[in-house]
Amino acid sequence: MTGPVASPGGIPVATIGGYLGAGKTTLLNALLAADHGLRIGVLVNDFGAISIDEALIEARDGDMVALANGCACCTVAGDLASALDRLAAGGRRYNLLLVEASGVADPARIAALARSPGLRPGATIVVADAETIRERAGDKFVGRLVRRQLGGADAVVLSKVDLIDVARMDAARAFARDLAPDARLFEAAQGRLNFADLLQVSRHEASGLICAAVDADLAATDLFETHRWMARLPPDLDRLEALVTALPAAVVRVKGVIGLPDGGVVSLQRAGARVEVKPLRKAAPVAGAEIVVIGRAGEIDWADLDCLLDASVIPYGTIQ
Amino acid sequence: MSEITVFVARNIRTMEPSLPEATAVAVRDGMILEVGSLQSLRPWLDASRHTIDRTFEKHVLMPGFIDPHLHPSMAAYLLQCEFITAMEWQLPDRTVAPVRTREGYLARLKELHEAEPDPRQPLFTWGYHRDWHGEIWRNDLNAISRTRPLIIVHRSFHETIMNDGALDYFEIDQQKLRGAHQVDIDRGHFYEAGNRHIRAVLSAFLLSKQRQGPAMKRTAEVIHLGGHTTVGDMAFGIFNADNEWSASVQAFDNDDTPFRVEFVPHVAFAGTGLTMEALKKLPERNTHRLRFGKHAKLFTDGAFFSQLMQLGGAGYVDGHEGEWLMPPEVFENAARLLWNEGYVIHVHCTGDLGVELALDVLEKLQWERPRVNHRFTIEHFGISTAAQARRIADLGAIVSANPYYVYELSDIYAQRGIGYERAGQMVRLGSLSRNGVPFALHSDFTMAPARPLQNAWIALNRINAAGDVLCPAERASLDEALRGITINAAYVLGREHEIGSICSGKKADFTVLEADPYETPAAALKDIPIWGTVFEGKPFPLGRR
Repeated sequence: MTGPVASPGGIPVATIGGYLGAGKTTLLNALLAADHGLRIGVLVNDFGAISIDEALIEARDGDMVALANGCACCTVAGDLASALDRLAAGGRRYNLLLVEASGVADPARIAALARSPGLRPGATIVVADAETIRERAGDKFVGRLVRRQLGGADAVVLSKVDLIDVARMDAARAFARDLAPDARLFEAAQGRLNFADLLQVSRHEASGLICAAVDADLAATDLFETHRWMARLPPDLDRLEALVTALPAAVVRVKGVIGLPDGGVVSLQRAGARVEVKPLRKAAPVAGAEIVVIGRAGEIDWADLDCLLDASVIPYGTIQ
Repeated sequence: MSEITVFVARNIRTMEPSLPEATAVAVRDGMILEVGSLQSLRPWLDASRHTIDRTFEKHVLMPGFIDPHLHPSMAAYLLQCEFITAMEWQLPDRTVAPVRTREGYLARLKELHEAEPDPRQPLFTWGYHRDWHGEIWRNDLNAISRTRPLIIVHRSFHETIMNDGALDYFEIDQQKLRGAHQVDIDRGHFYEAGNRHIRAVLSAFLLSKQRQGPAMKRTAEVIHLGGHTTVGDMAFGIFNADNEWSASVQAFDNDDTPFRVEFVPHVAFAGTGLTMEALKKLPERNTHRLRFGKHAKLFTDGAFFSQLMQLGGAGYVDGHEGEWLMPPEVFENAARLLWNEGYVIHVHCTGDLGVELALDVLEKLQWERPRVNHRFTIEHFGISTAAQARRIADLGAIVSANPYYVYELSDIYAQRGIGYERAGQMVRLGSLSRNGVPFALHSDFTMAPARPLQNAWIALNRINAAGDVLCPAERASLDEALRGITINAAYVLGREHEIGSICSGKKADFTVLEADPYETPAAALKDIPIWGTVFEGKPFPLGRR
């Protein structure tokens, strides 16, 4: 149940922002080459920095490079809105469009361009250099911009985490969490990170499924693994609660957001053995559910866990 | 050797403190031989064949006006629109009177519609602004004509409104656009990103081969109308360097053009646009009228007219944020490359944080590699602080300011934008004066009318469109205001040894006025009629080219 969620109402358009030197291009390069099974159209400002392995290139056509894995990369020649329309109307059917925002753009403003026929807004991903994030956020000229970018993010990717020591990494993580309390936090070294999760997040509009925050201190170490389960139909809450309660002790933390058949939204949390379900009164309507599970590394079969949780989803026929 | 022509005038205001006034100027081959009186010119006249030209006997000559910052190739689009504006605009064939009501706007549009005999000819208007003209939509336009294509282009260029005729003429797919982002098809309204659905067809129409040439000619007429003999194209290459150059050569590089253009290329060195190698080669293209010097243009913060300047301190009243047009690091790197190559750097700065960035970088560059006579120029100078005016002086920088902001925007920005204190002190020329900073005045046309005398009038009086006087302490003196459109404008373009004042050896460029600015009441400076210009010794009367 961890496959891509269907995209009613158009192709999701996610934005990758972040200040200069944050690592956007490294991330995009890695994304274009990664084996994620999605057809992604990437819009960049300038081909110059994008390095695509010639062996992967299927066709070139002016502003567009098509890759054998179904992805494509295209430059925004002046007008982003028109470039998006071209991709939406083109022959290829994409699962996701990713727009690289300029370092000084407010990515949230770009997301608004996706409100057009054939498109729908996806998430705003902001990349931040773990080493310089604090300095940037305090800068006289770009501090406000950097803080605004992070504040509007649905997902924050801390980059270059391999270049700093543990103490500085902890500080960077806490800082990012502070500026972007509602965002999913990812960590990347040389563009490597959990693409499946990042892409899953990317396809949702900011006001859609709210990803539960992952406990950064847990997720960050080698001792634990993080896994996400998603459903696009509402689960039976009682059954789900019972399933989560019965999860093995190797599961140390569960956080989730669940949309109910009546339109309500609840949060589900498990810390240790205690499971808690609370209504989220201010949340936007959610279709389906999203749960993050953190467990001790190597002790959990995640595929089994997916099957287990899938059993909570109410079959089509019973929804009136 | 050619014959000498002596122009005799009621008065010649030379803008040279050593000889501020004269009554005759001897010219040969486009160069000033000497300025003085018929009597003092005797040694020349006794030695050579000459004619005494008394055309300007009742006129006052000034050095040819210079606008160091406008955008000739951007004007092509605008000048094909009929103007219906809240402010007065002078155009070659008429003066557009301000229209500040909804009824007035619609009445004027109806008049223009009825004056055009071809019922299928699209009618574009520019200048509409809701603050003045209220709400006007597709149905209001249809009430004037359902069939003639009527297109309203907003004052800011960020909105377009069309009637049925225009939607049909440009084959806009209305069904497809129903519900599209930033489009309200029932109102015929396209705004911000919604303009993407019509931009291509409108540009193809307005910038077609048949239309662009005549539009550039009209730009030339507007430049002449203001009394200019030199203008700076202060962002050459910002759209397409090759197109801009070929359009400029075609329109301006001929003996009928009464002005020269100094091109200052826009660069960023960030992977797009001009490279340093290409920049260095540009002067090889120089012709008699079209020239590249060793100057380059950079940007810091966003547009003043859109309230996207970067403000430090208190920011905007509504809490919104300005924009960076170049990321600070990219700006710094580009500035360093230019600085170390000896270029004069012109920086678009609209807000005080934009100014601060430019000055921080300048100070760093001075520390790394000191330069004298660098003429680092702050362009626009919308919002700034008094401390910055002093720092500009400390760092040896200069300013090319747009005083028109004070006229059109100070009232609106005080009430909806940045509050009275900062709005009242925008374009603080008085502070520059007190710190001994040389400054020029510019229009940034098409952002403001290309009328040097109007800009000098604003700098001198600081009266806005609402009739209020703003911060008299930030006024320029009459002499400073007139230097701002002549010798100091030449200084900003690095041509003060050739143009900008009337003295022996300089180009014989004059602006011919019907009255003496030094004898005209301050409030009437902008209304002094312009007879025309003399470009390199050749008279070009207005309206008779």
